Amino acid sequence: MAFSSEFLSLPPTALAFLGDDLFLSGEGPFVHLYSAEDGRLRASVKVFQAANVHGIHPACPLVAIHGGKSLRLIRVTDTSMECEGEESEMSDWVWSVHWMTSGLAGVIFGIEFHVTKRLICSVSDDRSLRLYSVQSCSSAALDQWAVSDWSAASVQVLHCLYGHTARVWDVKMLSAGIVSVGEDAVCCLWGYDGKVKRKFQGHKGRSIWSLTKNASETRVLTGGGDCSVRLWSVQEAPPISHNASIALPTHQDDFPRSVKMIDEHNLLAMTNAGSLLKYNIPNKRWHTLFSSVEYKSYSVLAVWHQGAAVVLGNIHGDISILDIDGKLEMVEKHLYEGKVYSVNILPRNDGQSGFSILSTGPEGRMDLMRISGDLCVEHMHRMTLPPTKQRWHPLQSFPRIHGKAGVTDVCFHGNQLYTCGRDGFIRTYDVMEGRLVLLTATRSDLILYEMRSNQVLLRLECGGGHRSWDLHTTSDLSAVVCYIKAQDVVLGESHLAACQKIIKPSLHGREICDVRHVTSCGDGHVVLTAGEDTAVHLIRIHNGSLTVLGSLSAHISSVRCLSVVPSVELPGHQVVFSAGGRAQMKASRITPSLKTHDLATFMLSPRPKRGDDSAEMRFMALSCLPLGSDLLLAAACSDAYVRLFRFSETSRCFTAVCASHVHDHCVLCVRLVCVGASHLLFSAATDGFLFIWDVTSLSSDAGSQMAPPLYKQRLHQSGVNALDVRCHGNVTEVVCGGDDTAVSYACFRLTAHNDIHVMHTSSHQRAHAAQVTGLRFLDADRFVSASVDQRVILWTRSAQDNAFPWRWAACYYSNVADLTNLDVWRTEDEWKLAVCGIGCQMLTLTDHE
Amino acid sequence: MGRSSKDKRDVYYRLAKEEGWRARSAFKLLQIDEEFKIFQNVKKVVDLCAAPGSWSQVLSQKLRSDGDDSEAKIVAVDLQAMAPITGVIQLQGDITKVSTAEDIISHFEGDHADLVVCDGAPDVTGLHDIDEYIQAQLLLAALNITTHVLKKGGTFVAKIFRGKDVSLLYSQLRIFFPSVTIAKPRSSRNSSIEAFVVCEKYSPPDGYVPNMCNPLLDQHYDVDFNSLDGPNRVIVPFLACGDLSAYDSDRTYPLQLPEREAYEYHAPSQSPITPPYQIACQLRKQNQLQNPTQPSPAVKHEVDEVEGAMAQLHL
Repeated sequence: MAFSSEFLSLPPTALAFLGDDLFLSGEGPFVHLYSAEDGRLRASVKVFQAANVHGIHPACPLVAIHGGKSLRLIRVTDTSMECEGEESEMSDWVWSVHWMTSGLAGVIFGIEFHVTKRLICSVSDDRSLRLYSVQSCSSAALDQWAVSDWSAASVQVLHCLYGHTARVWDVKMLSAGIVSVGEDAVCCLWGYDGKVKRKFQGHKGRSIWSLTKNASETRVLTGGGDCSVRLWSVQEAPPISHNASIALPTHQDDFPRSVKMIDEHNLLAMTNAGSLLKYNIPNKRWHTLFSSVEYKSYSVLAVWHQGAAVVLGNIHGDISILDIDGKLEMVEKHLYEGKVYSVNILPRNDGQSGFSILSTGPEGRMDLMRISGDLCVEHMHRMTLPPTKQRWHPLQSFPRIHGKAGVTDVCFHGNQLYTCGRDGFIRTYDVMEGRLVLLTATRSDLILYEMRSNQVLLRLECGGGHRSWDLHTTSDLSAVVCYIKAQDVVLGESHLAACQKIIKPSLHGREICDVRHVTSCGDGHVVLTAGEDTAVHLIRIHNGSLTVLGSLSAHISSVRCLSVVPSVELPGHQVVFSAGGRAQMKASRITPSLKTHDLATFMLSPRPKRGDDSAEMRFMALSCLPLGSDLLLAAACSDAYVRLFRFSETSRCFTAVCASHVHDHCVLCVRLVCVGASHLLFSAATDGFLFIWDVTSLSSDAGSQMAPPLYKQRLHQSGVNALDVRCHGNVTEVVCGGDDTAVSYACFRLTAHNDIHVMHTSSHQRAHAAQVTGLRFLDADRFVSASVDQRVILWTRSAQDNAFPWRWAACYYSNVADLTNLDVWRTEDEWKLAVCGIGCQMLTLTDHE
Repeated sequence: MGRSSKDKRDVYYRLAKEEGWRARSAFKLLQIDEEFKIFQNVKKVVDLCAAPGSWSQVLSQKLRSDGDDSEAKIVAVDLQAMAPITGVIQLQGDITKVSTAEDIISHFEGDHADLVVCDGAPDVTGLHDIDEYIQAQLLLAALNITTHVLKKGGTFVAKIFRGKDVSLLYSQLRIFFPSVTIAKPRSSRNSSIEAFVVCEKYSPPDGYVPNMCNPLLDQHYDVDFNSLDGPNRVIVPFLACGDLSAYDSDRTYPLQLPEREAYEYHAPSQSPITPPYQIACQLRKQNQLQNPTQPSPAVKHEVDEVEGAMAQLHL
């Protein structure tokens, strides 16, 4: 039996262009050949047995690869790569360049020479970028200098620059400027004058690890901790091309209150005195559409773009509908005794031309009107919102979703809800597909952000979010922005060309904590991954490449564990439970067509008060079983509790059933199993104890304390990180993997009186060299274990009776560091394994050698 | 999240502040001693990579309870300066230099140490293979200086990262110590790759001459003795340290712990002295980091400082 790797995703730790199109990417022990033009993978080669690639030095057709203590040469053509000679191992780590200079505040991570410009640039852990100029009477190129030339030269500091918010890892000098990448996952483009020209943001999570420039120095590639490779164009013009104030034609004391874009050439401004003005951008001319003292000091404004009509509301409860072109008569209507709170334009749903208006006013009044193309008003409905504080009954609340400071805006687009808050985050709910979203963020900037590629398309300093602004984008990717600043109407124009191309997609921005198989179809395997970056992704692995199919809505803290069970309510669907930090747990559903839907969110302490400690609890592991029409869910909790919940898919509701803190230590593993008519719960904690509980009877009532465990036994010296259970008849077998490097095995029989009869316990003290973090039974005679020592071991049942009845059968060295979990599944003729940690890997276990 | 949020998530962080330890790692050394009795009959001890000084605090408290000069001598070595600790002799020096070893021995009147401890760790980058390698190199540098200053039969305790090559590191240590155990104190988190090697009964190979670039310390995987993925693997003994009744570093505790005084927030006892990122942090706080829309002037005094340093290097 032998393992083989079918898929591996790791952060690219080395990149090198071979010209202007082809480039090499080092990921783990592999070097991949890609085309930047079409983004296609041309060839792959494994260069090292165990080391990760950290440097690629092309001298085509040969390329030197180094990583760890290893060195190897490869030969590259446009479509292929092959190793040249054997891997050689040095006695020490191979650094490309590694300098330490006492004059700097920290360690230098990257250094680059510019031979003709006679410049040296260095980046370091003090977060700075330093540019030095080298002056000398020698006329030779910098790379031809002898030691004597260097000692005769003088080095002058030109710039000491701070732009990164964390350590700076690497730097390259281009004709257009200097590019630096860092731990803050930002790629900065600097001019030689020491000013930041661009900040390229796109990589998720922490760190850009690798950087290379193409031969003509027009583009750079970056490889991030999120496993993605991104191509950036450094030549395109900066995003803001024009930004100017426009003077109003009105009286000196009048000023604009709100602005709206009509189309790319025209904008509207409503003034304090009650004048509605139209501005034509190409002609630079103002035109008064309407003026009325009734609209003085207060007005609300909405534009119907298709037919160019505008709706105004005033303090007296009137609305006016105007044709912007002035061809049709203005229509007025008195709606409220008090001010019009808002007017909104909605599309008509009856197929006729025109639009609908939804307006709100005092006393919870809400009116829906249909407006025909010739501005005839038909009043459809008057609705009254219920008399509660906010006039709305919440269906579901997300308290403190943006922290204490609050939510600043909410919008719905496509099938997604977006919120932004003063904490500087945008959160999306029910994520289907990335779309464009607009937001005002930070202290003073207006940002146009593309969700799909996680990049800023436009950043404009407008002075803050609490002002009237509008934006119009055209199909040729230009944007016109208007806003009010210091009582002026300001107009900005910009081109929105994406400067970024994603060559290899990203997965998680941080470490992956759990991986679960969902389904397989032919050669495609669908798994869920949960990460420290608060995301849960549904991914398909097919032919060695990865596609992110969708994501569950993000958690507020890291997601540590997943549980996947078939839906009781909808056959063919699956229910996913995800849980982690800040005592948060979510239920979601995956449809047979692999779409994801949120079902419910549970927080142990939804509105934490002073003195309430439960909000900091972390869910460590989950296990689930069907229970009648509901699901029974067991959770291992860091506050020493084992908690049982019942989840109803119909009512989308979690109900706490019972809990116990008998473990008195952080609980790390739980597993629910059916043994005959009984439900047994296995749990284990940081003290090395395994507990077995009978949870059959209490599954139906809502008592608060669990009955004492049926069985407890210390199997490990310290924490039990992995546990799997296998039942046949009334016999259950358990394997546990510990922080103490041991794997232990126990076999029990459940008696007729629901007592545990121990048949066997033993352990292999040194199964691994580091903590065991994943264990799964394959069948009656085999199980696999995985550890932070990066080994995946297959164990088979041996004939010996007394000692540990399993023996080592095969081992695979994985390049996934900090390996956190393991899942296994069976295809028609093979076993598949997925391991996760820093990156993820899928392995095949074949029965032949 | 409030300021006491970390106190809830990390009980040892909180206990360290309450009990006046400079770092939570103090508990790790105490729990290693509970298991291995490393302080028994110890009169001369060296603390390598000692800053911020929590292990020196433990040594001082455990070995010099009366403040009497006839008691144990403690020498703490670090590249960085460290706030003084009663009864601890501080050496600001590089552990890769023979002169530092000579300095240590001069404080012991020519004698060798009974115990050498090292809690040093690099600033981790996040790339595990590099971090594990650098930690291993730091440990081997500590071992090199230890071979200069430790008496035969003495004990060496150092931090390791349990990663992919821990069995190689173990076999390297076994060349100098017949008994090497990987110890995990209960105050070190279950989820962390950190552990400690406790190396007992120092006995260097016959004819071994202490030096600072040890050729013995270059181990590789090989098929017969210690293979990368074969069945012949070096076995690494493991021992968890500290009583089961000790606090659990992974558990979330309520702020009001049973049988303890009423909870009160304590500020961290020792913040880092002049970290390399100090200027960058100041600029960030003042919103002065450079941005495309808002370029701020280059930091002039920094440029002068670097120029001065470059001049000293005669570049």
